[in-house]
Amino acid sequence: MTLERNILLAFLAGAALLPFAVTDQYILHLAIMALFYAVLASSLNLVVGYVGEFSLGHTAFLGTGAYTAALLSTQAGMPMWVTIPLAGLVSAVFGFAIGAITLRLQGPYFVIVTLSFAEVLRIVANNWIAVTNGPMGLAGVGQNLFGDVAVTDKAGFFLIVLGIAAVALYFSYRFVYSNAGRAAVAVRENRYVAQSIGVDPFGTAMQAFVLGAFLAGLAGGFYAHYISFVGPEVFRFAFMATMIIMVLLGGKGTLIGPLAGAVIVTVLEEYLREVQELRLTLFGLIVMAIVLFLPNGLMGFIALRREQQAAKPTLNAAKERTV
Amino acid sequence: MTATTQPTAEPTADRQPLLRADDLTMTFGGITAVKDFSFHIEPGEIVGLIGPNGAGKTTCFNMLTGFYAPSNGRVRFKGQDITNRKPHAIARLGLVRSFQKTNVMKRLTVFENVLTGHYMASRQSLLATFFPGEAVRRAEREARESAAAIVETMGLAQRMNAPAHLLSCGELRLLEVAVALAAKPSLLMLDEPAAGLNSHEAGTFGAVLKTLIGRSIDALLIVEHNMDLVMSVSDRIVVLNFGRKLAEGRPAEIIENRQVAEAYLGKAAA
Repeated sequence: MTLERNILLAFLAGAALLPFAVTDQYILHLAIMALFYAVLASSLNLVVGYVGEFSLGHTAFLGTGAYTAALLSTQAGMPMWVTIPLAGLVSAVFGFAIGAITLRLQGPYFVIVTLSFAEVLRIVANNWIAVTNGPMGLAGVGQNLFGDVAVTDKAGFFLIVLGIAAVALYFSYRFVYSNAGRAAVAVRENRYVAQSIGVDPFGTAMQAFVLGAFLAGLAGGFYAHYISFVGPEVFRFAFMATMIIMVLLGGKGTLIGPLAGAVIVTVLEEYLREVQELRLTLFGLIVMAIVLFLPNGLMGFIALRREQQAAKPTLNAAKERTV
Repeated sequence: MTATTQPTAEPTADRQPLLRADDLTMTFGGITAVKDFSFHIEPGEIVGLIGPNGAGKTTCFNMLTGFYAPSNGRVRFKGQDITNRKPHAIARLGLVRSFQKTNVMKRLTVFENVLTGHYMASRQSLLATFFPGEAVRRAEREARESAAAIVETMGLAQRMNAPAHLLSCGELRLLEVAVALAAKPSLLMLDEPAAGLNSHEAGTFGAVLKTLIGRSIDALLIVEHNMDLVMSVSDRIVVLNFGRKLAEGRPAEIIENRQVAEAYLGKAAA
């Protein structure tokens, strides 16, 4: 718990120095996308890793956040410090409404229904032309942070997304290591035991789900301003697939896992650009390999090695004593 | 061993029983698992619920704790009607159970299991979850101390940081009781807690159970097939057979009861 906290703090501190050390715009763009995905993956992980239900509809919250921020910016001219938190709140409200329906289901039923919610929202975004401008999307989303102060360079956007990542990790950390987080793990591990010690499975899952929706909404709001354009494709399955790969690769049910997964996958995606269409095939193979050989992801693998390392010295010590 | 509390046959008008079940009936399709079953538990009592396999003991547990909704009948706990309430709501009133098929959180350590069991004592507002103050930190510290103490009481101190899936069958049963105790129940209900324990372990376990009454819990309902254990710890025994109450009384009376012997062993040859 303290180790995990220290690693997260070290990561954030190290990341804060990056824009001062690196001026290459391309690398900064990669770093921004990595942190954006880190927020998304962390938010998905709250549902997948701690409640233990596999949501395929997490893009619903990313897209809701992105459209909220884009509408507030293009229609009302609001700056980022207003639109991004509001994007999170609107997504949280959507999370509450969708969770109230889907969290009554478990297993494959939950997977299918969450997926369909994201799909419904995509169709709405595509067809409600009066508000969303349909397939044309909302272009020209403003890039001003406060009033007229505009963010003009990548370094500025990097610091903003770093701030959002810090908020996301803080909330996740507090939740996971609280009584409520333990209750969520109890529901994941054994629903019957959870109920017998007074945990309401539905209410507990709802807390994690709404928190995940809130954080995904923040990420969506940031995305709208950074790319300066939002179209119905934010609801598409491609984002979902990327998030899933990150959470699985890094290790679900840990805080560092999704972060590591986001960084690795973002970098890999860029490297694999050369192989073009083969890229998705390779990602498919990677996911299969992880599910088969590292079911708990990289963090699970490292934790296992640490346990084995810890077990060895005591064995050696026992041997020495007998000599 | 002599019982410390005098068993009472019927609840008296002025004193309310801790738990009172009236005419509990449970049907699954055409099968009646439990029929018109009434009983009660007084504060300070250890009640044993026994009966041959399939008598309806576990069904009865599930009805009392809200995991099944009874087809008929009422359950009252501490004077409140708890029939048809949700399991977690019943647990929050202080009625906590264990399960027949061992149910623990396998991937967590022994300590984490018991710490998780403190959920109700450590409940806090959402705001306090994200911005914890001194009160939350104190509650957390107390929960951790209490968890360590409970692990010790149940004799699992050496396994404190072992993942639950590495525990032996006997240790798992003890851990299950430890998790239930962590929820600070008023009435603890154990479903075959000694299954998988050898006779020595069962003896120790029985002694531990008796020390709990008055200290950690107000009363105990125990379903058990280990007759030595159930006879030695119980103040009163209720016998179920084919979903109906067959007999009720002190352990010595039950041992003498012909009908009970027949239910377990069949009729003697004429």
